[in-house]
Amino acid sequence: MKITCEKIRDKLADMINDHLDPKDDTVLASHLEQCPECSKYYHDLQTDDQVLREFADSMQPTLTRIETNISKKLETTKIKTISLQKNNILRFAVAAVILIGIIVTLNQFGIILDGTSTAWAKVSQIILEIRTITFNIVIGKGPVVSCIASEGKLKQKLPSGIEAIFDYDKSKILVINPNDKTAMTIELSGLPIMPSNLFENLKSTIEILREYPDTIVKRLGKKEINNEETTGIHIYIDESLDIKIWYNTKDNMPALIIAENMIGQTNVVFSNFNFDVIVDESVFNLDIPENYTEIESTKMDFKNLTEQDLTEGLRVWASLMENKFPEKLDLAIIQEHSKVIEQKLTAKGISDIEKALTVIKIMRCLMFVQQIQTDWYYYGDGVELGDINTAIFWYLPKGSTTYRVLYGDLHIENTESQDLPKIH
Amino acid sequence: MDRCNSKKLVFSKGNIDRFAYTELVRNYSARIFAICFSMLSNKDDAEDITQQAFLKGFTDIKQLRDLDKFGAWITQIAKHMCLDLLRKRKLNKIALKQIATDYVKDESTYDQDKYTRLQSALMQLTEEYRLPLLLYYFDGQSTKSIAESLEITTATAQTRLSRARRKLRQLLSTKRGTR
Repeated sequence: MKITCEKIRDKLADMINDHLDPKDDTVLASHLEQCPECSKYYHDLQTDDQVLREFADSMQPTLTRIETNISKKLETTKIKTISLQKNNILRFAVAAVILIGIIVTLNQFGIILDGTSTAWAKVSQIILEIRTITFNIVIGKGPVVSCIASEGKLKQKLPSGIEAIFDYDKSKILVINPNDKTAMTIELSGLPIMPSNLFENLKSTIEILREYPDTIVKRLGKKEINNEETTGIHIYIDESLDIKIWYNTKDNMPALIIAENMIGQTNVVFSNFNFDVIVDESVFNLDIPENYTEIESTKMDFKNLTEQDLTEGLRVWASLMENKFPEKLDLAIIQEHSKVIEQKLTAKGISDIEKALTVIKIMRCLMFVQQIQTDWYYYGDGVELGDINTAIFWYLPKGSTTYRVLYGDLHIENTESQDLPKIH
Repeated sequence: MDRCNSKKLVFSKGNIDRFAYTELVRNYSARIFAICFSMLSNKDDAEDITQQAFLKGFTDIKQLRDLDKFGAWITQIAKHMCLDLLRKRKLNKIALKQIATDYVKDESTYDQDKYTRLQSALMQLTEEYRLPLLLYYFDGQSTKSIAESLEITTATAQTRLSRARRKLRQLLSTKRGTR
C-alpha cells in the first residue's frame, strides 16, 4: 500500500508540472477517492503550487525594475570593441583599393585562445621582425598576386599585369595598367592606423595572439616545401581565425602560411617568401610612369563619410544583386556576395579600375554604418530597390534626437523615436 | 515567451543596438533572475547581479559569435558573477542558508506568513532541485523551458521538478509539525 501511495504521489507531482487534473486519470482518481492521505497530499501540492505562483508574481515589480534600470543604463553603456576590430573595415576598404579587382573583406577578430608553445614563440617572433619581404598571396580561389612589401609600402602585381603601389605615409595609391598604358592615382586622407598590406595585417594578428597566454598551438608534422623540410604548426583561435604556419626546420623561417578565414570566410595563403631583401625604393615610386596616360585621379576621405555614402553604396550593392538589398550590413555578407558582385561587374565589361571604384562605394557605405556611434538598425533584407514604402535602415545622428529613416527608394525622412517603423 | 526571435532582433554578427538588446533583456530577465536568486538566495543581490550581468552582456556582445546562444551565454555570465560575489563574501553553504533565513525574517514587504516558510524551505533544497522550481515559476512555467535553461532533457527536467515538489512538501510539512 505504501509503495503504491509513493508512486501515486510522484505521479501527482508530475501532474502539477503539466497542469493536468488527476480526475482525468481513472487509476489516480479512484485511488484519491479511497486514500484520504494521498488526497490531502494532492491538496497540499496544489497549495504549494499556488503559493509558489504568488511568490513568483510578487517578484514581478522587481523584474520590471530590473528591465527599466538596464534600459536606462544601456543609454550610457558602450559596446566594447575587440582589439583591432574597430579599424578592420577601414583596413579592408584600403585593401580593396590595393587589391584591385579582388573583393576583400576583413573579418572581425573575436579572439579566444588556449595553450602556448615555444615553436610558436620563435616562429612568430621571426615573422614579427621581418621588415622587407616579397611573397605571393592567394586570396580564396583568387589569382596569385605577387607582392613586395616594406614597412608602410606595398607593390602588388596581378596576373593581368595590373600593378598597384600603396604608400601609407603618403596616403596615396598608384594603379598602373601596362596593357593599355593607363594609370590612376587615389589620394587618401584620414587613414586610420592600420597595416599597409595583408602581411602586416598577419603580423598584427600574430602580435595579438602572442599577447594571449592561452593560445592553442598544435603541431602539424613535417612537409617538404621547395625541397626543404618544414614543420607545421596550427594556431587555433576559433572559426574566425585559424593560422597554419610551415617553417623551415633548420632556421625556423616561415615557408608557407595559411590564414584561414582571414578575410570573411576566405583563406589567405602566403608563400614564396623572400625575407629582408634589399628593395630599391624606386619600386614604390608613385609618379605616373612615362608614356602612361592618367585616366582618373580620385580622392578618398576616410573621415568625412556622409549619408550619401550610405545611400550610394546601398544603391550600387542592390543593383548588383537583382535590385534586392542585402540581408545584413556587415563584412561577412559582402564576402558571401563577393563572387556574384565580381561576376556582375565582369559581365558589365568594365575595367578593373572601375570595378574597384564600385567596390569602394560599397565599402564606404559599410564604413559609414560602422562609424555611427549611436543606435542604428538595418532591415533591408529582401526589400526591392525603389520600394518607396518600406523602411530599410534607421539611425540616430550624433547629437540629434530625431532619427533618420532610409526607405527602399533611398529617400530619407526625419522621424521621432516613437514613430520609428516597426521591424518587419 | 518568445525566445526564438533573438536572432531577428539583431542585425548583424557582433552588432546590436540598444533597442534590440532591450528585447533580449525582456526575454531573458526572468530566467537570469531565477538563476541568481537560486544561487544567492537573496532578492536584492539577485536583482543587482541580474542587472550587472545584462550590462556586461551588452558591453561584451561582440564576444558572442552565435546569437542563438545568447541564453546560454548570458546564463554563464550571470553564474560567474554570482560565484564571484559568493567568493568575495566567503560564504559557505551553511552561512548562506543562515543569511537566507535572516533575510526572510527581515523582509517586511512580503506577506510574511505565506512566504517566509516557503523561502526558508526553498533555501534548504539543493541547487539541483531549487533551480528547476524557481525557473518553472519565474520563467515560463513549463518543463520545456527548464530543460532549455539547464541544458538537460525535458524528461530530466520533469523528474527534477517533481522531486523538488515532493522534497519541498516534505520540508514544509516538517516545519508545520514543529511549529
